[in-house]
Amino acid sequence: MSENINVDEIVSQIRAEIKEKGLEASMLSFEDVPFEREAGHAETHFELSSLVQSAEYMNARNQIEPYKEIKGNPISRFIKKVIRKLVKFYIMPIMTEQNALNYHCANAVNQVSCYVQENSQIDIVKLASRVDELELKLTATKLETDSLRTQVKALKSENARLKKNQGVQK
Amino acid sequence: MKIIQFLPVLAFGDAVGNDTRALGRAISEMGFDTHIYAEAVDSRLPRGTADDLCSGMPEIHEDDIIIYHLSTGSKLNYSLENYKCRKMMVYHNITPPHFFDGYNMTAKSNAQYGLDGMKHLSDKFDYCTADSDFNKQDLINAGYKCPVDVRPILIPFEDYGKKPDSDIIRKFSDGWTNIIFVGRIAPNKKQQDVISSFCYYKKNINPKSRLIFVGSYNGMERYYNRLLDYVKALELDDVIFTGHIKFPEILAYYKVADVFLCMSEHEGFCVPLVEAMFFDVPVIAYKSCAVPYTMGGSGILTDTKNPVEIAMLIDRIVNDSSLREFIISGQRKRLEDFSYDKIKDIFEKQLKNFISGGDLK
Repeated sequence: MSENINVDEIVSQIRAEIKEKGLEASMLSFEDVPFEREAGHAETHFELSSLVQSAEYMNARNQIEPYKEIKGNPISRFIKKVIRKLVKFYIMPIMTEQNALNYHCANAVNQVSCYVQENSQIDIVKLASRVDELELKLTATKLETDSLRTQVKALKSENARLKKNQGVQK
Repeated sequence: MKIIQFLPVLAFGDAVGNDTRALGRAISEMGFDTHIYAEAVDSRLPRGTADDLCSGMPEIHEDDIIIYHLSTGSKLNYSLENYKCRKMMVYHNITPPHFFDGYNMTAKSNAQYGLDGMKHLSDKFDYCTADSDFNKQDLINAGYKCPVDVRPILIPFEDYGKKPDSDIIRKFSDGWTNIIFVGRIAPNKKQQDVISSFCYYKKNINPKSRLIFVGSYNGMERYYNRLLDYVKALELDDVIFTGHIKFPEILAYYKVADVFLCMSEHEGFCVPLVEAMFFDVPVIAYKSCAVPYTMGGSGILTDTKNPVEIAMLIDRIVNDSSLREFIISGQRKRLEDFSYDKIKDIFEKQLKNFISGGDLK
């Protein structure tokens, strides 16, 4: 019996019913819900602020402390302390190596950060002196233009005077 | 001759990992010496399943064969070409990066890295198999000139016979209608469209219904939080996000499900659709990417995301027992195409043909 079922026909019936009854979903769309987008960061675009922020984080936290505060009731604190003592011989050398690596990683990031910042400072100084240079040139050009305008004006009036004199003589 | 499988991550219980391990068994049964290498190996896997590549790439001879599972960005996309032996790819698809825009820039970069790698490999493999027609077309569009065949993922159905979590079955077998979607919480899966359809269904058709999203949201917290905000803004109750759960719990959700609703816009195969078929859960799925291939004419494919239409379809399936039976019987028939033996046969034929250098179409 079930083999006679036509799914397309059922879909058409549903569509006809929706149309006939004028049914529609008047609800908020997903796009209406604001959310905090993850900004494109250093993975795809360079951002100096992100580099500086990460460098600061590394500087503050690159040395790991081997001892963390032990919490819990007296029995569990005691057990945890015993475990800590037992694994100390294994953890300490790893921690020393990790701290050395962290120090050099942080130093490398700091060097990169300083290099980028110094270069961007140099760029700004260079650009500022170039602006000054161009402003001076602009002032000189303006003065030159004014002087040329005065000369043109004088030549025009001289020309007019000569034409007038020529007319009187004829 | 040795047959070596490579993949970026051999995870416990994921589709690519299951396929790789199943192929490993099939290759062994064919009498070949075989091994799996991955950049990262899940520690929950039995010891000896695979070796990680931390200590460098293994030695491979010219008469060996490499099978590479491509599914993400990896250094392997640029290092396997150094081996002089013959190479076969199993392509599981890569999610287009734009889906992750604004949600996870690392995932976006990784997807782009994967796509770049996939294009880079277009002339470096001798033969490819793809999980679906959709994936095959992806390879052709990327400029692959070598023969490409389709072979669906090998699914370990025997695992689905395990005991489901009885607490969940008890909790959700209360006469309410359970609509589920199984899969990671990810923007390409468009869980928001499932929510809007459910919203109409619950508010206008069946108040005694719930929506259950079964899947992890790790790495997609922004998208997950936006979905939560959407549910809140719609003033919608009974939407459950399980997060990462144990396998018996997943089985239990399938057991209590009345309808499987998939609105995904990017899938390379979509194993949960087949799982729904296995558990006799009628499927309504949006017709896009590999979904029509996987459904193979079974279930209900829809070309709309109109919440009213989807809600009314759910209602028909829930209340019309003959329609429900019809859909389930169609799905059972389709399920036969994914039986372990059938897919294993396809793989064996493809591999034997590749080894012998026969005609690869």
